[in-house]
Amino acid sequence: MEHRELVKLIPNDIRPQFSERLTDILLESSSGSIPPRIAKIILHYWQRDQLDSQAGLTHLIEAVAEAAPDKLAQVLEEFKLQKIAYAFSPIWDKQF
Amino acid sequence: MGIPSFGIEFVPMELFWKTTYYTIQAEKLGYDSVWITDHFNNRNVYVSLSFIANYTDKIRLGPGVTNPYLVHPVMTAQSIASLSEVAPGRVLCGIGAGDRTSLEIVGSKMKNPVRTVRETVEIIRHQLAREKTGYEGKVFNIKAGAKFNFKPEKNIPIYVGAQGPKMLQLAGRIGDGALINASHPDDIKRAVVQVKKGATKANRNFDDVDIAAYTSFSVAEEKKEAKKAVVPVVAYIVAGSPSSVLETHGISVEKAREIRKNLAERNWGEAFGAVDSQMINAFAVCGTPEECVSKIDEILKMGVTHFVTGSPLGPDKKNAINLFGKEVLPHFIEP
Repeated sequence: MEHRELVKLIPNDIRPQFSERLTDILLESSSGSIPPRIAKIILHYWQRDQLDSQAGLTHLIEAVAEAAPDKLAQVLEEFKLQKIAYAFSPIWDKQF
Repeated sequence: MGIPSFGIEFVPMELFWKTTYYTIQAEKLGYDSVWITDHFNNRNVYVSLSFIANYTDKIRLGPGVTNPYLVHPVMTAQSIASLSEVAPGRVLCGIGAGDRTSLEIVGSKMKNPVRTVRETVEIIRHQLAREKTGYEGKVFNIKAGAKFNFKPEKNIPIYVGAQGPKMLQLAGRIGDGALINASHPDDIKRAVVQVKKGATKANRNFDDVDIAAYTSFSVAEEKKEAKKAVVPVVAYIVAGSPSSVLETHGISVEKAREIRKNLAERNWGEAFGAVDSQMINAFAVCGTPEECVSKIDEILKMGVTHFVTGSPLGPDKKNAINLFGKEVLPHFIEP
């Protein structure tokens, strides 16, 4: 399953907090080095207050998976999104 | 007293996207200006500013401050003129003499700072106006015909970054604004007197000069956390302050010397450990949102029209910007 499809599994009511948490992880990560392409997309959605949209979350997840994959697993668990974490494992296996 | 402006300063130590993220956040919360510092050892100021310009619509932006010892005035003029194409009507320009220690590292000497800054401001205006004539100063000489091949925005406000009396007077004489490098109401009061003196000498209306307090700022829910974050910045300010300034605030010159020595020897624990509440009070605006409101209120009463929150902002930048935007700023801009 693609990132975008996985995001559909995230309940609407937790999307704002979830996107906030992912953003904090990126801002706090010592390097925060995400590909400039993704960084620009994140800024685009942030400027428009759409980081909690399906597209915004898709790119945030992609960015965190790149910059702090261990933290992504942790935050998915924190938000009780184990189902997504499980669905993510093939993507992670492929990426890392 | 009209509604003051509020600005934020960033030292571009972090990745471009992070500084831009924080600036978008500040813009959403109602900040009026963003200033990016210009040091050779951090990310480039104009790359940072153009990146920010692309993701913002309203916030005014500029170098805060650049200096003519490392960047020739024609290049500063070119940079801000180019930036104004990306962000029309939003560009500001802060010019100062720079920091002596940083300049010396790269073999540059701060000679005749007031004269040099004055000529810099004149050259920038000369270039923005696309004057065909040259400029003959004591420090800089520009030959006739050295004008832009493009038509820039003419009226980019130039702020003079100042601390000492002569530079403050220069800001009053020729600046669209003064960036007063101070955080204590008494220091700001003394500075405003000098800016006013300069404006009067030049037969200018003092109200035409935007008086900006460029402060070291730290806000957090807990005072202790806000203080902890500002300690390193204050240590450097204490170490770099002349004895006269330290004595005005009742700070031991001997203690300052110790801090300077420990910073030079990279004994961070010793240096930062020696910073006390008196030093923080003298050189920073720091505390809970409520405490910051009261300190800013005092500063604004000194004639300040633009308050800039400088580094470190707080223990957590994102949270500090939120606290300032949601709990401090509304006290000053809401009717």
